[in-house]
Amino acid sequence: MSPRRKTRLAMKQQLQAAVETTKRYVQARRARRALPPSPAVLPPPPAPAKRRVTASAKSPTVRRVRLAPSQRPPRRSTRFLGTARPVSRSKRLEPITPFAQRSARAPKVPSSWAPAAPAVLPQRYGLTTLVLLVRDPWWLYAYWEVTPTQLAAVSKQLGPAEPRAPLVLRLYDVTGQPLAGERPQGITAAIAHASRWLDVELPPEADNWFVDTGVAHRTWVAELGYRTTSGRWVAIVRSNVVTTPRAGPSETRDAAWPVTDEAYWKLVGVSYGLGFGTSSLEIRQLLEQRFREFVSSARGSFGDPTAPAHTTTHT
Amino acid sequence: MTQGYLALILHAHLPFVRHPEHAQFLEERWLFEALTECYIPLLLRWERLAEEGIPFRLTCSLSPTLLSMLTDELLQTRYLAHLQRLIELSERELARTQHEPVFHRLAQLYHEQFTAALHFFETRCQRDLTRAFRALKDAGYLELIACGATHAYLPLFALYPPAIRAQIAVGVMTHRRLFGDSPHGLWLPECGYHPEQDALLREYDIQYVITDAHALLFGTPRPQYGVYAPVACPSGVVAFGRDPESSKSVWSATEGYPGDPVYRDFYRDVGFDLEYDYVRPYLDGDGQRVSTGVKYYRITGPTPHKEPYVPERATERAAVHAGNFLFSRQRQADYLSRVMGKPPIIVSPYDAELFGHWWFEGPEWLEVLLRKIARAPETIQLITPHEFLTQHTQPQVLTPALSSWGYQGYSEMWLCAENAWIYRHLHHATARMIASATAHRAANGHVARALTQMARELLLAQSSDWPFMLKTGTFASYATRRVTEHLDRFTRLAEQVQRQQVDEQWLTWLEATDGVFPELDYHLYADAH
Repeated sequence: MSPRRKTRLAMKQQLQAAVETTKRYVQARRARRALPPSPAVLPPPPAPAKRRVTASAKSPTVRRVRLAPSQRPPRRSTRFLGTARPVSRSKRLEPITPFAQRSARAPKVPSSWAPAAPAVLPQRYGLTTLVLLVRDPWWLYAYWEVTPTQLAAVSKQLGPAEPRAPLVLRLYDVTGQPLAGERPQGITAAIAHASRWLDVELPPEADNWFVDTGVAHRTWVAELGYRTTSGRWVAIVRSNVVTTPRAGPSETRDAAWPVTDEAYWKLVGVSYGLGFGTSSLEIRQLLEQRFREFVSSARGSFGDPTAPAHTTTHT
Repeated sequence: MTQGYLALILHAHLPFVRHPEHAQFLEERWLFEALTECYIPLLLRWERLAEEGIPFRLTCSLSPTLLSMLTDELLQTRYLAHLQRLIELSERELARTQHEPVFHRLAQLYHEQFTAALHFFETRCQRDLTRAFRALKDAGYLELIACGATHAYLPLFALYPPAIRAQIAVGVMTHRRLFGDSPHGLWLPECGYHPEQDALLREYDIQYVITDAHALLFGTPRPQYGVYAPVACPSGVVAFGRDPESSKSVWSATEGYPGDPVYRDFYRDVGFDLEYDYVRPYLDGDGQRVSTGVKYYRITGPTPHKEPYVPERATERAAVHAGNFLFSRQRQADYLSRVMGKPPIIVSPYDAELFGHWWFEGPEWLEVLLRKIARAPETIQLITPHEFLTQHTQPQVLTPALSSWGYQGYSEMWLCAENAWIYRHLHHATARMIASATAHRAANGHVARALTQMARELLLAQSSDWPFMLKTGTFASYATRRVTEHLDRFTRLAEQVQRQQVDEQWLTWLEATDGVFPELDYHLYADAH
């Protein structure tokens, strides 16, 4: 090997050695500072199991609620605390330890008033009640409690010879009836003239139920009772009166504020982003379609009060 | 003369979360995050606009529970400590990222944001953010409106008008106490409108409420101007309908601005990404990994791989989106003014927490929008609902339909399989409150205090946040605990009142723990006759 080549080789080896030394030095410094590597090189954290929020059928007393189809409407669907955050496509949820575990682990400020055991709500309140709540134009929610004394009194009415009749929630459509300020006699009269009623047969231990009435914008009052095999109705308790909201435009027009169908649908179209200049008929059809897709159980066309329901309807 | 009016309404609400029995509490972070990421950045920008003399008008509703937390000393102290920990974290991040310019810039950004927040909170506001809101209101930039006491979803309490009255009254009283005058409007929680409840609003001189679009569109009789003019309910309260089109571009995950790939990603937070021992001091006291607020990545796309966040590109994009929003409103106003024959009012309400928390660039977007609108007043003018009513003639009278702005447009979000169980308990407690208040009208001393505390516990249990959390499944165990605990305290108090034997020491502890609404009077629940 020529002397020049030897020198070049030696220099190259020295350079390599210097690079190695520097690398080792930098690594040692990093190790001494015990810093974590930069985020760019970290593998992404494992995604926790997605928490599926579905209508729960765990309790036999709560009827499975029909879920809306996956196509969500373009409206706000979150709160500060919700999972369905609108801003990111990556749907990883942070794992939230159940509160009880966190609470047990968290350092506490001593207090003589902290309860020894977590509070529990009572199963029963000792009052016979039946309450109707409105969920949307078609669905109602009923909850009830029947005291043992009330039950005993009603059983006497049924008679000992009568076989065990099923517990039934009966909803009367009293739309348009005068209710005389919701006094009992007024409601009894309204029930007698009800245009239709729905019977929902309940399992014995049920204490609440979601009911799909199948029609929008009606006035309802419910009774919980027994229906004997001979068709006799023995009521236990009556509910409050509720009116379900509209699910479409009103047919009433105000003469002082004239608005044609055309003008009305054009303005609705602007609200829902259906463009300017689309015909009002097209807008109406598009919106009816959209409403049917995203409202929980659309029935018929807008505001049609005569469409059929799912449960047994008597008219 | 302008072509159209735009009413931007920000609704700020957080449930009352205060746990003095724990040194640190995870759910209190909601307040701290909202302060650091939404309220303080928005206030800083609004003050800057005011200093520069840029005219703008916004409507802001602050819920009484949020106001109670903003004015609470314990929470103010805890927030300071939280902010100081964040500043410390950002300093360590500056040191850690000094060899990576891309991340170092972002660490610098967060360090500046947190120190500015500290200065604003401690020095400008003396720890009380309501001062800043009040200053902007007095200067004429903000209109502040009231909200239901604990943000209860009112349509599901329709059976108990005294409970509705109490929610409204406490909202109005809290507003008067903190802002010195009566509110002109009230934010119906979740825009939950029930046709029989607006008469109660008149009793407290509430001029207007905000409802969702279909409240007006499905109202009886049909509205002449869709949602683009307010309507008067039979009681006289005016309802302004939300414009879904302007909301969609801001709220929607798929079609809206916040999902743009250059915007900051919410999920890639150092609290989850970095080594546990490094971030441990900045997590929840329990040691669980949580969001710290320091995030380095952008949305990038529908892929788990995220690129580093570039603030300049995000700021540019926010400006483009603000221009787009304004352009869409101008087109809308132009078309509507021709169809209607008069200028429309486009009502765009949003949750305040969207701006800064879910959508990091939200406050920037809003500031650019306000600047652009100020430069083009002949097309779109910002207005508040109250101003609109003073300038325009009598609105059409109609009865709006029962509705909300929640999932599916009615009450399903708060009444479904996961949360329906709470209502038998809440209704029972409400009925018992009305009965106790009516029976003990002339009470005084400990019994009167106990009745007032019963009313507080009931209000806290009625919050719509609990059924919301139960439905979405996040913090469900916390929501269950809150409802159960408040109702349990209520029941024990009610029994003590019935026996006329009140445990005074326990009552004092309760008043300190669940100490909201100092001016609450249990007589609000007493039946009229």
